[in-house]
Amino acid sequence: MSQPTLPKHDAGEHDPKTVNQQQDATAKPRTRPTLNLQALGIYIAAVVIFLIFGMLNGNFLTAGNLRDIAISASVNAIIGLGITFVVITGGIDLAVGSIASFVGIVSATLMVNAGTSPFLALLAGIALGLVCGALNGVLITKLKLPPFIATLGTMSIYQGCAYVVTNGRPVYNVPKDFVFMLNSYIGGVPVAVILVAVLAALCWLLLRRTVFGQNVIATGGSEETAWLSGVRVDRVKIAVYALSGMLAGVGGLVIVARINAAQTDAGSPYLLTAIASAVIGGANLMGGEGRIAGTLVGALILGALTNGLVLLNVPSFYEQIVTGLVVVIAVALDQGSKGWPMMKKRSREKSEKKEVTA
Amino acid sequence: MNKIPKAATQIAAAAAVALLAACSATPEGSSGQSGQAAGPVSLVDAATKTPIKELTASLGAPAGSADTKLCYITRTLSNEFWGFERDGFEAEAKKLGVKYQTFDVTDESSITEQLDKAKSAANQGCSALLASPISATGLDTVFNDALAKNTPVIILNDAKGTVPGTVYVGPDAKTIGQTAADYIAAKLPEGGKVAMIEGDPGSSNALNRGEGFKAGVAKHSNMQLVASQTAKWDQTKAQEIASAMLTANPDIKAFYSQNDGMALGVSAAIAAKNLTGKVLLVGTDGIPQAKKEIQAGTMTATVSEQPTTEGASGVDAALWLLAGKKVPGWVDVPAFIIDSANVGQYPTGMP
Repeated sequence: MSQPTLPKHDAGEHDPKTVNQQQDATAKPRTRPTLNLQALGIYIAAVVIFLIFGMLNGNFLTAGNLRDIAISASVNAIIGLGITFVVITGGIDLAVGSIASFVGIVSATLMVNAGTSPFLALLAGIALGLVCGALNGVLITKLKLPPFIATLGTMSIYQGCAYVVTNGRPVYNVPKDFVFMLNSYIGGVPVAVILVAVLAALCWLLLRRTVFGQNVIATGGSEETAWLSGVRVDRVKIAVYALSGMLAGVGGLVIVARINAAQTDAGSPYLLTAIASAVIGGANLMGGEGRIAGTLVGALILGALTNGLVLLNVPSFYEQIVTGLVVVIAVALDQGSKGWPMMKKRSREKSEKKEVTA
Repeated sequence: MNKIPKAATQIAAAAAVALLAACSATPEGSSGQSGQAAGPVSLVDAATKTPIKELTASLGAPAGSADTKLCYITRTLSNEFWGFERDGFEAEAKKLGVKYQTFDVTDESSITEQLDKAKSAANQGCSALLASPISATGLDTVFNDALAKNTPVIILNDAKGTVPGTVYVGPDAKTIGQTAADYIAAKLPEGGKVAMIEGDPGSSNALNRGEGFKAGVAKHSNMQLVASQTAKWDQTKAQEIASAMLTANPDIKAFYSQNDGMALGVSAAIAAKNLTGKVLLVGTDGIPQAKKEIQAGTMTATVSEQPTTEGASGVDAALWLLAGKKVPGWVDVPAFIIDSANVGQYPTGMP
């Protein structure tokens, strides 16, 4: 909790009430209107993509296919929710894919080789994800490592751990009860999709209706200001990375249930797609911005692209090109709709910062 | 602060468990998949294993109709092996006049991507499903759904599954390892030290080829396996490992590499020690580059698989099942040795 470049202020000197009022006063009018405008853009884009695929292939908009799209988007959505929090604080979490693999292989090993009950193995997996994520947060805050570097390192560490657990071998014969818990249907609705809905609702409440959420947004807006306003920036960051790790773990468990096995690298493809989901949904890698609903729509768009391009018989190499283009276009539209305010804000902040430190 | 999300997820998990009673494994509920009389499950004789040539001789040429559509869910086409597998599938389907579509994935870790694509394929309506699963159990849910709808399921190469009613078309990976050991034994009548370069420890191909090779070496009392390490299918890593093995055991007489890509690395390591021609090198797969090395004398032999034949045999098996003919659970497409004696017969592609 030390910020060496800043003058020593005691957070307790500030009156917390006035701080909150200040935050509200500055945050609301500046961010809300642009957010809504941009959010609308993403929903329109999603609807357009779904309609285009629906026109090109009659099978696309059938209930069965839409359900499959929702399932295929679920892991990206779950991991993307955690990434959204991290990105809002101005950080990045490159370890999510490895954590998903690590948690999956550990939980499966517990069930298959140690005979742990599926429910306990599930909890153990979630706890492991939380610990892995919290460790990222500690590296970033206490060792002052940039998030990119810290999580680049732990990405490799956790992936290595995943290999070590079973010596690289996959774990098969995952108990049916476990598969049933995460990969079944309630009244025709996949459990994974229900799980996404529940987690997203909780994340939204956490971000928009709690002091913690305010602190996350404040930290991303300007770390210095947040710290000066009495926000315990380090604690907020550790909590955010722990949340990201935990959700990555949940994603890893869903993968295990979907493929009836734990593979040592099953989570790795989700790193970039989960970040892409958050970014398409309007999360700003510079921090301060990100939306829960946006991330869900981002994941759905990616799921629809994969599915739709398959139905149209587009080879997977072209599919990657299209997916990349969608990410670039989505972010470009995002910036365009705001008249490139990010650049202006950043340059203004930089000049302000100089004044403060000087 | 992090107590809130943790507690919340626990509640969610508990809720999920509480709802277990209301769950079903399929979206339509628990409609059984048993009790079908004429479905593909009853036509597949799981216990038998028949070579493709015998099968074609007994069942006759398969016939296709224009409304039949075959779907093949393959792996990454950046590995040319799966490209040949697809070529065989598409050429045979075209020849027999049936519709076909191939679904490929990004890379070898795209396990859930493959699952999603298999589901998309099944939703589109396929008369039969052919697949090369990356993870042995990864596509089981799709296979079960397909079989419940009386759609035949054919697995092409590598991950021989456990879902009853599926047909496996491919070689026996253990026999491949054994063939390599027997070939080396024949070339080394006086025996000697041998070494093995293994593939990824998680791959069933690596496990079975290794097991077969070890069993094969054990049959010949004058041969000893002095070193065996994994290079995870990686050429550079294989070169480093082979180089270290030759340093530790300069009298190694032969190397067996579990695929040809790694064998190319071993070949470079042997050349760097000026031992080309003095140390035998047997690879696996029969990729075109390995055949060039065999022609140049830098590699001794390769245990060649027949991906193009497998792809075509998969089409045949699917059409036989659709015509109501009985098909064995394992259609054997055996691997065979390619060395300097017969390499000239395979100038391009893979058989």
